[in-house]
Amino acid sequence: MKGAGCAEWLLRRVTSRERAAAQVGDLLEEAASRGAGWFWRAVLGAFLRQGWREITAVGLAAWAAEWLSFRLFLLMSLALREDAPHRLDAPFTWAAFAYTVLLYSLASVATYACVRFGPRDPLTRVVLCLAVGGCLSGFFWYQPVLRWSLPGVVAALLLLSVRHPRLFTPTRSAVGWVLFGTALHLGILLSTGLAFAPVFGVVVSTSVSLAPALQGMLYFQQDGHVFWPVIFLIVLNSSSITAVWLIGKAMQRGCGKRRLAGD
Amino acid sequence: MAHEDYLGEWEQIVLLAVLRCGDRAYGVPVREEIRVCTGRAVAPGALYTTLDRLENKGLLLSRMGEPTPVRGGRARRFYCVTRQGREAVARAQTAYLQLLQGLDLLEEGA
Repeated sequence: MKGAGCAEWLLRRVTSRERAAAQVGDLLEEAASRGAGWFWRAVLGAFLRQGWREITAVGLAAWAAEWLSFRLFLLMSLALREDAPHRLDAPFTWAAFAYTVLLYSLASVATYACVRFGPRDPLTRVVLCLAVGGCLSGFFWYQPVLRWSLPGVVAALLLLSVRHPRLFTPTRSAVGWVLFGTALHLGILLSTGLAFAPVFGVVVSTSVSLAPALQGMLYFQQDGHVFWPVIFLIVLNSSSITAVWLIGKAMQRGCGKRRLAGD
Repeated sequence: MAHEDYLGEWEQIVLLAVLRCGDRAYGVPVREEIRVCTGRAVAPGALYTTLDRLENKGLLLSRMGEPTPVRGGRARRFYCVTRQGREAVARAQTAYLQLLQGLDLLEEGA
């Protein structure tokens, strides 16, 4: 059968090398009597059934992290800009910044866990509890108790990630995504000046999400910039897709190793 | 019974098909066994997902066979049901039988 190697390559994206080879072998055996059309339909079906959770989870986690990092950027922007119409009354502090990064990373991991393992999974429930607890504690930011709860949340997340390897990669990826988005936004903020920064910040987020795109439209209207946002949109879209693909590949590799270890 | 131990109907069918196939339990004969016994035409992807899940739960074990030319030099992956898997099927079937006791459904259906 022509293209069996391509089929195996495709299935390796969503399962281990040995499993992909065995599955393609099974399909080839049956395709001898059923034909090439059946073979490719079966390969595509196997790919979607085995990969939809991973693909959706990675995409949503990246989306959530990127979108949340944009919210963080807005927070910083509003806190720092003297002319901002809704300037925050609360002062910007690094503790608040660290706490927000952690919280947003947790939200991203919770998104991943909900889609990938399902809400019935005990680990997902623990992560969700942590995320909800963290969000609730955000309301009491200026209460001294938070200074004590923050290290607890950090320790709990780290402990969970170390004890459960399947959560380690998404946790690392989520924190990486949030930090990446935040660093990008901060860099733009510092290099382009406070007045111009929101346009680029919005473009970063619109590259992977729909909700900030609506916000972006408002900013474009306000500032009247069109050319550079379009260029950045194209560049950042491709980098976002590449990053999501790389994260998925790393997760798949980790998954394969665990399965082999289980064998 | 803990929720994690509960077997759905489809999982029971797959486990029973693997048991029926014995030593030659890999993807193709397992699908065929399910089709013959239940009349269901199962999509290959659905079967592989379930086999993976059952293996992760510890109800199945798998080993690789020898590569064969008819499969383009690819090896078969053979499955066998673990003791834990046998117990889980037995528990689920016992529960069904207990629910059926006192009803004449089997006689009516025959």
